[in-house]
Amino acid sequence: MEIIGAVIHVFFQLFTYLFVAYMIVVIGFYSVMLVISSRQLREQYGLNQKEPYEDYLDNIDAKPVSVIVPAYNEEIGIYNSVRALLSMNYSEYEIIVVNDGSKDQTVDIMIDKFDMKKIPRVVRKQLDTESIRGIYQSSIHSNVFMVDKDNGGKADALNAGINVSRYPYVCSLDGDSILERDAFLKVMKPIIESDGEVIAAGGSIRIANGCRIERGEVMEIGLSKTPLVVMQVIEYLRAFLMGRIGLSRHNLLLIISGAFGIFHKESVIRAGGYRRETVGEDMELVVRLHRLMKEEKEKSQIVYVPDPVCWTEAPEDTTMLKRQRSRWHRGLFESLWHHKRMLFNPRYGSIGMVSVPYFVFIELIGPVIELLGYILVPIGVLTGIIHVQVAILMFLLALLYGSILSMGAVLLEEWSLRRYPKESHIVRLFLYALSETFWYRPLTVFWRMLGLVQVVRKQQGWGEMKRKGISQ
Amino acid sequence: MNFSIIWIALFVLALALVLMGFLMFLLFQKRRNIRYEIRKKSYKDKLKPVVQQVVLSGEEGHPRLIENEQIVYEVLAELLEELTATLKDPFVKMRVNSFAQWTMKDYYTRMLHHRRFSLRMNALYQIEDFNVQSFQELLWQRYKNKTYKNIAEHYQLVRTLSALGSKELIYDLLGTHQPYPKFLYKEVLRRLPKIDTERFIDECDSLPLSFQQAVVEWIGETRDYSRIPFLEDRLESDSIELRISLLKVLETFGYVSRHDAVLALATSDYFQERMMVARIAKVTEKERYKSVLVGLLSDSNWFVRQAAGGALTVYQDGDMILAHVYETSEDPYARDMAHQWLESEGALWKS
Repeated sequence: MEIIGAVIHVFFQLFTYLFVAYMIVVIGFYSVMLVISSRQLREQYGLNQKEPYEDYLDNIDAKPVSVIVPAYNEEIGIYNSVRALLSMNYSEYEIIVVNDGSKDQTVDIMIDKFDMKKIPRVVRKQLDTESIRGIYQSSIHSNVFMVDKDNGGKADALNAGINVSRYPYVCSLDGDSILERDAFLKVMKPIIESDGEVIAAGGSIRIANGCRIERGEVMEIGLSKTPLVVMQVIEYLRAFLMGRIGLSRHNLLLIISGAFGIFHKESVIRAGGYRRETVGEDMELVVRLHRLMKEEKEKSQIVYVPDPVCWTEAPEDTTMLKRQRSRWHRGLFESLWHHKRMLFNPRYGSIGMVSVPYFVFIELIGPVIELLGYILVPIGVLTGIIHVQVAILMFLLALLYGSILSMGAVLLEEWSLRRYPKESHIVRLFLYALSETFWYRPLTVFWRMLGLVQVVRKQQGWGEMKRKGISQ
Repeated sequence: MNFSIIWIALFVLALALVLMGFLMFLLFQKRRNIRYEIRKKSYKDKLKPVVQQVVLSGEEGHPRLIENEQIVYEVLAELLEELTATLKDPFVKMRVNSFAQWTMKDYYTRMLHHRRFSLRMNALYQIEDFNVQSFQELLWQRYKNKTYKNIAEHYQLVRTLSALGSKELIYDLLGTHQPYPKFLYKEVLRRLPKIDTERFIDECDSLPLSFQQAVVEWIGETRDYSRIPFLEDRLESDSIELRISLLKVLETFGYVSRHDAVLALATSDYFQERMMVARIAKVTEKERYKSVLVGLLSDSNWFVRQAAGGALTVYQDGDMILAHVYETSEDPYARDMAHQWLESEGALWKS
């Protein structure tokens, strides 16, 4: 009995040290990224938003883009999404809506609203996909197409879109998202100016709930009244403004959000397209592109551009959010597991030595450590194994990691981009960020852990996502 | 342990207080900005008719209008930008430029010396837009002495100097220099007066490769058909990138005088060149290409076969040739491509 007691004691002690050391490393890492991001964003503050892109408005150097919109049961948002895309400030682009065997009225709405007619078309099947039932073209807008295909998942739909696309760059865009008018110009700028060295670029994703959106355009930026949505706004600010700028600066980016990203088509095809057997197809593709470029010793970059914004609908209830977060974490695991040989492999340079370890030890394993903390610390304190002072120390570190860094991200937004027009928005965001450690973070940690449980249970698929629609 | 926990607690508390203080500062700044924008709008309403009158009628401006205040300069810059965006009359543009020269010089000088990168860049954009010639020397010195923070500012200096028609910049670009990317050379060429661009065309062969490509593509953009011999003379260049640029421009022109030089590339090792030969055949519709196109239908590359099939469809007897290939060719790829083009009547590929 004494031996068991001693073992438990040692276990708790070891966990305490591990937790404290882990938190210090993670907080240090994020603090460095916060500093890098702050400097970069502030430098851009006040910069004219039109002039840097004017040269590319009507210019053959601005390569044409095929926008692929995978749509599965998107009857609520698809019309407004496509309509918003039609008013983009860009010289040449086509819109390809890929209906992935929807069970709702997605196809009928597209055919009806855009007067689409079935067309014969020679398609080069460079990526394997489920069968295509037909290709349609709008008789109102000649650059709007629809591919109607059997259900095969989001990755399969994107691959079908790539097969049908005619242009050298492809843009993946979620059916429930709305892009700002200059988004293509802004995200294509680094691609054009790098002379092809940049093979993929992603923009920021922001939450549209609470904004006034009319006819597929954001008329007024607002903040939702739902606490769960406000917390997601903060989470997105933290992830995009703090995390991705720092990673992108050193070509360490492993994710370009599936909601909005532009890729060099040939590179995607060479890499084999989107992987169909994962729910994290967006991250998996970026990791594979990095891997391919390193293996073939090609000098290429994958960048994040903070300003072009894609507005998307966030889940408003815990059921949908839980489903989304557990799926994201499952996708993260699948991507990292599939490319596990890159971990600490010097052959992959900074990607193998910094980026993959960051995603494994901070993003993937983080929830495990945090959840253990939520369980073991109260038990340890109650049984007297963990001193109250140590528990306070652990709590303070969790507060730093959760609330303080999120508060920093909110202030960074206001200091540099200033997207939210009212003072009350900033105050609410700041106070909600302060509350993060006490309720939202434990919830997301639990949901992310569920994602890992799903991996163990070999659960697959996306699960149904209910949409309310963001446009009026 | 107690001691260190107190310190950490104090550190977290201090951090939270600092953030709180920063929040207060940002809120104060936001309120001030909102008020500033309201003031700016009222200035704009007041200045708009005066600026319009000066610019549209050519009347002298009222010096008293120009108070030495940041807000007035910002409003004037916005008004002038709006005017140049809406009125395309060259006389109006000239008056906007001289008005900017007269009123904004001090403001731009201050902005160019500001420590914030974004404000310096905004000044460079506006000096370019309003062609404020008096800054040529200052900007040239900055360029020469490498007084810029990053590559974006460096490239914008090049753009602004070329918009101002800087002779020093032209000499610098004609001489030996660290080559710039193609897109920047094209932006320089688009901004320079025609007489200056001639020099780059004359000395094209001694320029860096990316500049040569830029010259070729810029000729394509300006649709200067008189340069077709210049383009054709370079089809035998050693650089594949340059040859592809040349072929693309010739395709957009839809005219070639030296077909032999183009046809010689039908057997190139690079599929892009073989594809471009087929695309040139499509736009020129010359009979002599037909046999080459039939050969290209059996090419190892899908894009070449596809372009060859597409090119054949524009000929009077194209469908017959495709049908003949489909029925008699021993190459399954050629038969397949011919079949696809025969089947794709009305398909988008043809448009």
